Amino acid sequence: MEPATARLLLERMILARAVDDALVALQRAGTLASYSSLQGEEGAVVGACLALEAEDTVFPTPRESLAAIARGWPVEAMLLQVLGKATDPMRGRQAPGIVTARAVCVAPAATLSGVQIVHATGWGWAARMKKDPRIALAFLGDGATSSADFHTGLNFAGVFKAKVVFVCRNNGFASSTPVSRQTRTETLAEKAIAYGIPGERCDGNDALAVHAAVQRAAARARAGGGPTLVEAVTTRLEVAPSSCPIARLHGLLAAGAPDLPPLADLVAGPAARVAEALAAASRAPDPPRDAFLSNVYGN
Amino acid sequence: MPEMNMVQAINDALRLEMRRDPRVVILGEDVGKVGGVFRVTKDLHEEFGEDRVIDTPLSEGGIIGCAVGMALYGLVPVPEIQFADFIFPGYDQIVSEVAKLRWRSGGEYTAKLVIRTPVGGGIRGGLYHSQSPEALFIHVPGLKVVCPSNPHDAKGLLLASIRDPDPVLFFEPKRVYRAAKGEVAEGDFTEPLGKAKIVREASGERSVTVVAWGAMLYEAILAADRALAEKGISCEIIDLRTLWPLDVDTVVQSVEKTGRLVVVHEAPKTCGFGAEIVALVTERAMLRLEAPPARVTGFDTPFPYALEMEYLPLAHRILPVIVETAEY
Repeated sequence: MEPATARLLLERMILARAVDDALVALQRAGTLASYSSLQGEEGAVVGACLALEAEDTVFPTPRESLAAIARGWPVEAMLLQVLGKATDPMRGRQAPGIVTARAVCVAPAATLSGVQIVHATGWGWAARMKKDPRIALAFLGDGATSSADFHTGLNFAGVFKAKVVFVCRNNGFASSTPVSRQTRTETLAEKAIAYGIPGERCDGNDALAVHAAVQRAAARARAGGGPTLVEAVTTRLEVAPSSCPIARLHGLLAAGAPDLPPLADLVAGPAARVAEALAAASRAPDPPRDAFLSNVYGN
Repeated sequence: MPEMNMVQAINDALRLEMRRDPRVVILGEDVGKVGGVFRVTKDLHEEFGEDRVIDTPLSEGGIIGCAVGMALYGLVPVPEIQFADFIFPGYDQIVSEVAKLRWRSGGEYTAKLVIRTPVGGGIRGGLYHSQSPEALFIHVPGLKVVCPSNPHDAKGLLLASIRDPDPVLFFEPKRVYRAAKGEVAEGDFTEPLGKAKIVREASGERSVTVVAWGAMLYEAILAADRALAEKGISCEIIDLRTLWPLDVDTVVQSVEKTGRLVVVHEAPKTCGFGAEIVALVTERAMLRLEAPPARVTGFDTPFPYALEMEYLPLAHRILPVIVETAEY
């Protein structure tokens, strides 16, 4: 990997964590009714996103809403949307942490686990039909592998050689339910065999490993070789604080670049930027009382 | 103008729009080489190829879910669900995603697509090939619902649906797929969504507004003929054509004239679309009503095979309700 890419990966993970920290705090304070934290799994999401081209479309679940930050969406824009402010096009219609960011090609985050897998397949299938170089990437959690849409999406993608990459974050739990209650199989990657597509398992706490795996899968899709299921084995930070992918990547990079500042120094700037953006977003006007009445129909 | 049946008219509309708009694709079970179980997509596969007229795996959730992805990409998918009874594996995608995408994203993303599917009974199809689930879709904000009764409207409304910015459920009354024949203009034309058509105007003292759509329109006409011949009751018959958005003004104006309303539909009575029509008319024209609004519908049971003609609200069941309403 290019040193500049590795450095960008680290910076975006730090920024994503800073946003996540701020939103977790808002949720604990009761300002946000809900928020799905990504802490500890930034490596999988940012690693995957940075393996894409800017025009590729990402289909996340709320847990990967920070994909928008990974893809360069301004923190200010995301916070306006999360707080449901008048200046965001969605004006508080979606719940906090459910993000839509067309500016960085992030489709509306799918709350009903699995639907986004099929959307990404349809998108990538259309791209193949149109001989379009762009691809789609769907994120899913381990729980979504139990959904009918997982089967449907991977099956259609296999049959029609859709230009799509499926990235499954396997952190061992769907909410509180262990992965042993989702499947009898040893791994989630092996489910790809049933669809006649490649499946690859990687260390989701290692952003470089995820980046490499998704890069391979993206190249295959782009070249017309069809879809890939990538299983990124991750750990929630609350489960194992020592598994932090940011500290890990920083350590790896520092070993080869002695001039890399200490992590604490790298974290300070983004944290301050998020705090400033949050203060500004909080002051932004709330939507008018009738803001939910428009956009039901186009005409 | 050539005479066509509904199947030919819909096929004509699909061919015309696929020639005009390269974004339009058809996908569904058996829609390609064989042209669909009712042959509505006949010969389109030959002209447009397998990337635009696509035989899919057997999965309605996949057909509709992938159509959503294609629409998000920028294509204009026209998925076919082989029978409306089969739509429910895709219902989650329709209700949770298709209907909400524009609203939830503030217009950043839309799911512009037209889901075509045959509805209704009277073809000896039994409980899984006969249902009329329109109310389940009308209830969901964000969807438009169309149900033509004749070949001209089928072509014009389908072309309008494909060009509409919103997702449309296009219900095709399969009982009259081939029985309903009529002249259909060649070439390009549309019929506007959201506009009902007064098929027959009422005249005289005792008149009744009869609202129907799809295959039951013909039963309403038969009943109206007999009401006039046997009882001198004149019916104003309204073919809704588009169920949602409802052309409520046309219905209310008619009831203001006749003072009486009978709604006919195949679906079960409870929470059927007739209930909404009666409520809307009552809210707007209560003091003009000369009789309680009435509904002639299917029964609150699953759809039967052997006794389907007992289940359907055919002319012999509509007639006494028209008479009762007129003589109230």
